[in-house]
Amino acid sequence: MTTILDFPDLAISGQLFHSPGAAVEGGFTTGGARVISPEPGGFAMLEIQLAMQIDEWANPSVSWLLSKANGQVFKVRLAKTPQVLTERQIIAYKTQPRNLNPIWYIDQPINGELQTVFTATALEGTTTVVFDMAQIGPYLKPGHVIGHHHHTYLVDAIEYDAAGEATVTVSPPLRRDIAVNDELLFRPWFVGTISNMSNARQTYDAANAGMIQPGAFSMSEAYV
Amino acid sequence: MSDFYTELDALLGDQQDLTDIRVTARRCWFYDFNGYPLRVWQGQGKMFDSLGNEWLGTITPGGNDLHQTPAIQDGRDGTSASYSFSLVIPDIPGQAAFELYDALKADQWRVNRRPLTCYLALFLEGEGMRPSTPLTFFKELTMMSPKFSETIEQDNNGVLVRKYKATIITKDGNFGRWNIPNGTYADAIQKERAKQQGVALDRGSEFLALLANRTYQLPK
Repeated sequence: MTTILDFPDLAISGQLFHSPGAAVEGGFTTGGARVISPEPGGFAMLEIQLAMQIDEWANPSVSWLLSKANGQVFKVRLAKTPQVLTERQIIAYKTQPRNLNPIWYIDQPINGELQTVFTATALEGTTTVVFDMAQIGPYLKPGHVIGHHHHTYLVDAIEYDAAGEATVTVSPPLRRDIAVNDELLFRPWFVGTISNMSNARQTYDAANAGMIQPGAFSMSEAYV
Repeated sequence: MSDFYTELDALLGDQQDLTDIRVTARRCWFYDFNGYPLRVWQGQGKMFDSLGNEWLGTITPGGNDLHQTPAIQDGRDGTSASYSFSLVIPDIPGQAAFELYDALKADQWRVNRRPLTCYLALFLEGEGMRPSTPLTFFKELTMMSPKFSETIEQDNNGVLVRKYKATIITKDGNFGRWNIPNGTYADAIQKERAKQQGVALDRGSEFLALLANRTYQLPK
C-alpha cells in the first residue's frame, strides 16, 4: 500500500486550494463551437509555488521532493493564506482593513488557530455540512476553506441561523462521513499526489546565485 | 413508471428552450464477476446510489477514462453483436490491482456467462455524489471471454507504470437463440407454433416487421 509522506516544511510564495470539478464538452446544444457544462464529481487541486529556497545546499529537500513522482501521496497542511480563517483575521476585520502576511510556510504555526465542531451528520458524497459558529461569529465566507480529517473543502455558499449555526455547501463533495461533534479544522490538511512533476523540475538550476526557485507544483487529490 | 423517469419528466417539464434543461445522467456499470463484483461509473470520484452501493469513478484527475465502453444499441432477433469493454483494473482498497486481475485470469468461470449490467444515474443539482433517485436499468449483457494484457510504460516523469488491463467480450440477450427449442420469436414461427396448437391464425407477432420476410438457415 501507499505510504503517505509529509510535504517538506519549505517557504512558499503561493498556495491555492481550488476545486475545478468536472465538466463535459458540448452539454448544451446552443450551436457554439465549444461549450462545456458542469458535471457531477471532480477532484480538488492544490497549487503550491515554493519561494526562493536559500537552504537547498544544506538541506536539499527540493531535490528529494522532485523525485517523488511515482504516485507518492503527500499530506500538506495548508499554509496561512487568505483562504484560511484565523482569529487574527477576525481581529483584522474589526481593527484594520487588511491582514497582510507576506511569507507563507507549510508548517508555520498560526496564532489564534480556530476550531469548532460539526453539529449534524453528513454522508460521504453529499455537499452540505452544518457546524457551530456561535463562539466565532459569522466570519467564514464563501471562498474560505474548511477541513475534516485529512480532507479540504471549499466553502461554496454559507448561511448562518440565529443560533450561530452555519449551513455550508462545500465543494468537492464530502470524502468521508461526518459525525456529530467531529472536529472541524479551519486550517485543513490536503492529501494528494503531484501531477506536474516534469514542469516543476525545470528550474532546478544556477540561475539565482545558488538559490533554487522550483517551478509550481500542482497536486491533485488522492481519494481512496 | 420508475422514479428515474418520473424525475426525468419533471426536469424536462415545460421547458421551451434547450438551454433551460439541465439533466445530468451518467452510465454505471456493474461487472458481476463471481466473487469479485465491481461497480464503476463514468465520472470522477466515488458515487453512492440510493441503496448505498459504492461506484468507483473511472475518469482520472487528468481526464482519461480508464474504462472503454462501446455505444450500445437495441438487439434485434437474428443479430448477436459483440461488445468489447476494456478496463484498466483499479486499485480497490483491500484488494490489490493484481489480485483482482489474477483472480479473473486464473478462473474464467468468474467471468464466463456472468452478467454485466448498465444502469443510469440521475444527478440533481446540490446532490453531490449521492443521487437520491434510484438508478434505472439500462441494459444487461452477458460476459463471454476475457482477454488480458499487461504493459509497462514510462511516463513523462521517467516513472515506469505497469498497467493491468482486462478486456471483456460481451453479447446481448440474442446470443445463442437458435439453441432454444422451437426457435425464435418471429412472425412466421409464431404462426407455425399456433397451427401446431390448433389455432388457425395468430397475428400476435406481426408487429415484428423487420423479421417478417427473413429466411434463416440453421446448421443441422
